[in-house]
Amino acid sequence: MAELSAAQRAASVATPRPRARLRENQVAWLLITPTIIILVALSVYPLIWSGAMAFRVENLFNPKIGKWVGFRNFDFLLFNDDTFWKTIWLTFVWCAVVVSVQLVLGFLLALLMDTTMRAVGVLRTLLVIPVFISPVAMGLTWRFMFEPVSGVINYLITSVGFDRGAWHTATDTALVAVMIAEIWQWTPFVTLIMLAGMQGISPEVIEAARLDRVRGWTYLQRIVIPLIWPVITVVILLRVVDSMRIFDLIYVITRGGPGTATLLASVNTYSIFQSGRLGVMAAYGFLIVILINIVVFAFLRVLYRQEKASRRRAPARA
Amino acid sequence: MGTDAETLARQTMEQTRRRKADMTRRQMLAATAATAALAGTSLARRRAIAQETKGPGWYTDDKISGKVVMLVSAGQRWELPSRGVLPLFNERFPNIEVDIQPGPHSEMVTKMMTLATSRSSDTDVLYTDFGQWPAFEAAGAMEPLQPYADKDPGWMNDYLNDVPGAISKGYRVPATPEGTLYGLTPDGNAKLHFYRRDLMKEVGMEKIPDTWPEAIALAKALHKPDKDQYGFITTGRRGGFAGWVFWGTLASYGGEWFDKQAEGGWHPTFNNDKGHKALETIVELMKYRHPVTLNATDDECNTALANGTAVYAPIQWGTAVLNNPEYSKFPDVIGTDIVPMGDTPESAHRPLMGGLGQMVSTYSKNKAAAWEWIKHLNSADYVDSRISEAYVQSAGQPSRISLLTKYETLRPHFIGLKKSFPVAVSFVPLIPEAFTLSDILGNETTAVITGEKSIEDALKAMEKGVEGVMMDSGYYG
Repeated sequence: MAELSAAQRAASVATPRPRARLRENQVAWLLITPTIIILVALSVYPLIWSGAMAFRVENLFNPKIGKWVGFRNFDFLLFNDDTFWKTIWLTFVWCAVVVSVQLVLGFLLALLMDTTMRAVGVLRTLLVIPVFISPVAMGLTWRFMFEPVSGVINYLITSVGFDRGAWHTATDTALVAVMIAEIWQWTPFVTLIMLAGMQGISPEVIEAARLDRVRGWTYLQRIVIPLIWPVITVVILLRVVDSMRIFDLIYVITRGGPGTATLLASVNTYSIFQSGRLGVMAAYGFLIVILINIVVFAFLRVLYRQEKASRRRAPARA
Repeated sequence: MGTDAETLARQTMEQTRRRKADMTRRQMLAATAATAALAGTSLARRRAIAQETKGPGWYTDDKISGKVVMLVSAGQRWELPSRGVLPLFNERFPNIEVDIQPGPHSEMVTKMMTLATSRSSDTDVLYTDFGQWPAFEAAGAMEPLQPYADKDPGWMNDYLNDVPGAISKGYRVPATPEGTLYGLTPDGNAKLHFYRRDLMKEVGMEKIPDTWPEAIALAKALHKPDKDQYGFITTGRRGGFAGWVFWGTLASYGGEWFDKQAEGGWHPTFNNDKGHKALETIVELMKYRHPVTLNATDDECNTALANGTAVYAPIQWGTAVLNNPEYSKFPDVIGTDIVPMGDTPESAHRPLMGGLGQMVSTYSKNKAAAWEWIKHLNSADYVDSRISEAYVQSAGQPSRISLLTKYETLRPHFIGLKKSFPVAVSFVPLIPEAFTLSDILGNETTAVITGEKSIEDALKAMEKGVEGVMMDSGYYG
């Protein structure tokens, strides 16, 4: 009897009675309600409101004139605005160049650091410093360094006999100048992740490669890259997303100028906001999100397929 | 040990007793009397000095209390003078606490507008461009100030008699002498013409350019990039900054924003001879530009002029820093005059009028205290000449003619301001959409300078853009 009642008690604990289940549900709702309220207030509502605003004329400087205009803001941006396609193009160029250079440099630095030398620990610590610097502080520092008349970069260049550069003040070099700053800051991050990937390669695999006299480029191409490909994919994903939404660094160094030379999508969104055209800004924001997502999605799909293929190949090689 | 300590204590007490006995009672009385006399003389002297500085408008009030929060552009002509006159305000109104909150000047227009439309009571006073007044009014964000001004007609008359009508009306809506009073301005500004006397002498061109062709010739003569000396600088940043360079040049050729003769009176008129001339002049000057010009606001221009790498700025917002040895390497040789004009029959000296003032927010919970603060900030010798002194010494650039005259030897560019004010035109059309329109002009101007567009295309785009905004705002169908 006593045994039976114990089994019954155990059963009642495992499957709560309907009333207890109801109470559990109520507690659960009570606990997640604040999160839902915050999410709706700070994310869902602004998203819906900005979605609605994209179909309206809204001027920050004259709140009285708001009215519905259908797809006119989208039509203006896609077919009548001189800067729209330029900003999209610049954003993709920025993303492609910055991420590619960071990947190549990061991979090479990781290779150099993937040794058992004592100094590597110190180097690794030094290398990670740029990642922790605030983009605003770093942007200001680079801006002063790039100063065409009094900056240290031109001082160094001229002291070895080269001509001075206009850097962030000229339309043809401004984007490159900002890219240098961005690459300087985020290459160490790529290096560290790649290094972690390289150090995760099984010593047996490396030993086997040595015995088979697989060296140099073949070693990298056949052993290292395929084995750390999942890591590379993650790095690409993180850096692509991050570089697409770059704002602070560019805003501090060039504010999108000179002219439209560094007017990337995020900086242009703010520039439209500053001119008070809230409806156009909302439409621009949505178009940017759609276009960037299409490209990023297609790109990631390719990467994912390659990663899957490399996973299939890697064990066979290992 | 105990005996040693007791001996030491006895000796110390004995010394103290002797020292006291050294000073007689008579000496003590004499010393006290002397100290009191000295303090009395000092106080009387201070009172006399204060009495000398105080004007008929002086009063103090410890009954008004509360905190006044003022948002203001950082540094330069706005934050620093406000902080300069604050100690005297604290003396006059000991129970009002003023919290001056500075922010970057280039962000302020948007920030203040966002604040005004959000109906926030966090800020009591906004210190910003008069060009924003129509927008604030449209948002219902400003407190009418006439009822407050009526309480002290002597002060108000002094203010209105001293500040040129062309400036003070900008703080009314509509901007006429009869418009509703929504703000006061201690800060007068205009686009000015800065040049270097020493370098002009060096190149044998000592005459101050009066027209744009003369200005271009001087820029060319002064341009020596191999010596880090650039012949031209202006605020060329995309958006409003470049827009005001274009509008300033257009105005000097006799151009206008809108064709007042056409139906509705609000149709933009840029694509004409005057518009072409204005952009051609800017493009020509840009050949001699300092490297930072295309991305420059006032900060970059003033830095380049102060360190001597830029040597000529014929269309540049006024600033107190260039003649101030604390900031400038060339305080004694930088001269100031009115902005050049075009060389066509319709041309005239028409520099752009700028300047910032204060409004009291509709949503302020301390309106009476806020009024006393802005009134103090806008006071001059009528209340206390120490206010004027502190204002000018702290990099202030007065709107009051009396102060521009009084301090013109200390700040030589005040002469240029006095010359400019009577003929100056507003830097924006005084309608709520002013800053949206200025951005359109600036973006197109930059496109021409960078070679992205032809002058013709840019002028057409300006007209199309401005017309679109005006149509959306219901100025015409």
